[in-house]
Amino acid sequence: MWFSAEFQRNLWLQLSWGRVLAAPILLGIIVAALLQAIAPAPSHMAEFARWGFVLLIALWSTRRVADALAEEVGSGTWEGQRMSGMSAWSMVWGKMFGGAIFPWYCGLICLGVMAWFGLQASAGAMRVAVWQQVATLLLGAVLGQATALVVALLLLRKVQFRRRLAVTMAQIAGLLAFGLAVGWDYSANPWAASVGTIRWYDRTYDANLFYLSSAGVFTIWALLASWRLMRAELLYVNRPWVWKLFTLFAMAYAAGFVSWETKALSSRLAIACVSALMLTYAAFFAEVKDPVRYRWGLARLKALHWWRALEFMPWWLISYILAVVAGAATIWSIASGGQLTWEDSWWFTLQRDANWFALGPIAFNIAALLLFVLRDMLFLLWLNFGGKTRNRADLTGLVVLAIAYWPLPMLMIGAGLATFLPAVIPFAVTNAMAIAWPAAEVVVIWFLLLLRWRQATRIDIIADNREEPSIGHQ
Amino acid sequence: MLSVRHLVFDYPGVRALDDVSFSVEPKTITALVGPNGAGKSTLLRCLAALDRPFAGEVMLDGLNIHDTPRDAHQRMGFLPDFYGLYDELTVRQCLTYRAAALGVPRGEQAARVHLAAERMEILDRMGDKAGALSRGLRQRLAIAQAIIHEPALLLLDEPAAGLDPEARMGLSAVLRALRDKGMTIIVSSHILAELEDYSTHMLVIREGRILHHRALDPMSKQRVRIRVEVAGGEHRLVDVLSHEGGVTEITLIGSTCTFEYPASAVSRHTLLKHLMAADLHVIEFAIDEQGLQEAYLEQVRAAEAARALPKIGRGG
Repeated sequence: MWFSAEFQRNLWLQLSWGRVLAAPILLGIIVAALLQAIAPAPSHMAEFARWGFVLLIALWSTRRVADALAEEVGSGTWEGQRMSGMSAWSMVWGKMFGGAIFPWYCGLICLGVMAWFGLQASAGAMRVAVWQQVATLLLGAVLGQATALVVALLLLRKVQFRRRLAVTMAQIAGLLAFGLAVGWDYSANPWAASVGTIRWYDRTYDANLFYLSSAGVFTIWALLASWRLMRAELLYVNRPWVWKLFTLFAMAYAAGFVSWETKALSSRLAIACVSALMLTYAAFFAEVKDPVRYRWGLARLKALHWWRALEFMPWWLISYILAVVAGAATIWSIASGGQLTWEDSWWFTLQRDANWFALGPIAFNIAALLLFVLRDMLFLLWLNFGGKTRNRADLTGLVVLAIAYWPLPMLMIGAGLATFLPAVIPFAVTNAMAIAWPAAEVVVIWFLLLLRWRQATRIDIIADNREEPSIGHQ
Repeated sequence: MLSVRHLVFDYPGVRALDDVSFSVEPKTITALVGPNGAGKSTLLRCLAALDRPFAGEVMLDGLNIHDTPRDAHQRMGFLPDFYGLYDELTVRQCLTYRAAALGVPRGEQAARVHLAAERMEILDRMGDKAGALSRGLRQRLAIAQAIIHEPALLLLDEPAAGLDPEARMGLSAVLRALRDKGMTIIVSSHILAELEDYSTHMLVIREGRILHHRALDPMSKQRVRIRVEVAGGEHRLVDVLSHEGGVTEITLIGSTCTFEYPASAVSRHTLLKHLMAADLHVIEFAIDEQGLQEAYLEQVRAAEAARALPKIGRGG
């Protein structure tokens, strides 16, 4: 897998003898010049080398990974790769490390320099172990590259004619992921002020180790995502189990930051619900909203081919369903007083204590939030199913939603129409009557979507009006 | 060999392939012809399992290619209209990479690379970079890449686009040689002249539908297409032919009638005798050595005529 055909090809293209020799010589000259000119302390020298690694990997290798894919599509070789016998993992490793093999080669030299001077630094100068810094940087690098690859795979399916933009967006995403992973480490590195701790599910963890572990876990998710997307490109059938598991993981991860001693179960459930809703938006904008694909999925559902229908299930719908479950549980827990403990029996305690007439504004906020997100999804689908607006539907949708959530409420307040705020912001929905606003919006947009769906899925068959074709065996 | 059943493929608002069904015999070269936008490339991409159809199935040697695309790809080669070469790699590296990517065992790769280059007559260019080759040589390299794993089925999308006449002739020879080695080939093009040299069958596609699928080489088939021209009385000719056993697919254009008929000399002699006995003024009786272009145009005209008829009926 490591030395796959794809990796070999990238070695041929990127690692010429000239480059292999020039990189250490050039970096050696820079190190020698620094030592000669300012004679820095070993800890400072380690910092220079660390920045060298950060710049090479964050800026260059993320670009190379996204570019490696865009070049394939642009030069017409991608179809050949899709028809090859290489496994999805081989392709992921080949593109991630092969595509960026030269930045990695230079970066590893910098990492070696950092480790060398770090180990020579006095005990007080390095409060974080060198191995921990190396591990954080390597994990951050893999996370950044995997994120860039994921975004490139997603965008190249959506914006085929704006490849440079897709590559830049993938690079920025990779850079942000790398920054988050390595930036955490900065809070506890030799040049930061203090070492912190962090509370997660009511336990106290060393912040460095927690960040490092989190970076490790998210790196695994990013690698899994790139593997699954590559599988889809290589024509394997993917069912959305991994996205479902990731949504559940993200809900549980985010909920862990709410302290159990000071807040009730409802807060954790609410955080889990909001996390799933954020992933609903993320999934929606990441996916291709092709009415043909939706039609295929529905045709398989109608034919009761459940297993095959799953293949076409939109990711946003999975996240949204999980958000609805978490939201319903939140409302129920609020109704029961929010005083549940893990030792109690959930079901019986909820039934005993539920008081639906004493729901606070937070419960209505959660219900409104679910309805607003559903409204937004239906509205965005309506844009995506339009014939002329399809190409820029997501961008148009983002602009419209941004206006609807920000300047519009302010204008309404300014115009003395605050009574109607429940129609535009979920946090203004604080009672059962106000819920009618977003509910009515959902109904109206659902109706509009239905009309557009009929239009978008009407097929011009020139010769006759045969019935819908059979979709074959299960 | 290849069997396509009830294939349906949709783009938003448009049915690109509409209930497409046909079979391809082994060791044949099928010319997939049709105007721009007819659905040729979509059909080829479905046959290559690069796009999944809404309905229908494609069976390659009993294997449903959309259920097991990875297995199917081991048995087929695909040359897209844009050759898809790594310009910075040498010819040898391109072929070695492709062999490794297609799962050819490491020990066999050098031999396969040599064989493919030899077949495509690019052995003397092994050290050249792909980007430095002429268009004709790039095309040969692309075909060498597509056949390096000895596929049973080779799909080519507009392979001769942009080639000079000499390179086109070279392509004809290459494809005939591959067929002789046992490969089944489907070639898509809207330039019919380039297909005429090497095609054994013609598959006409128009507006996502198969208009016609037939063999082109009359002498290798049991049935031939016969052309009869009469000096007046053409409708009586059609009447006589339609009552003649073995006559199918009668087409009348002006005073000339073409139809399918058993190829044997005895049968043709008998038919001619019957026409003479019916007192038809036959001025020409010949096997229709129809060029691909004429055959295609004939099918298109027939389809247009069939479509026009109901309109006339409604108007009257």
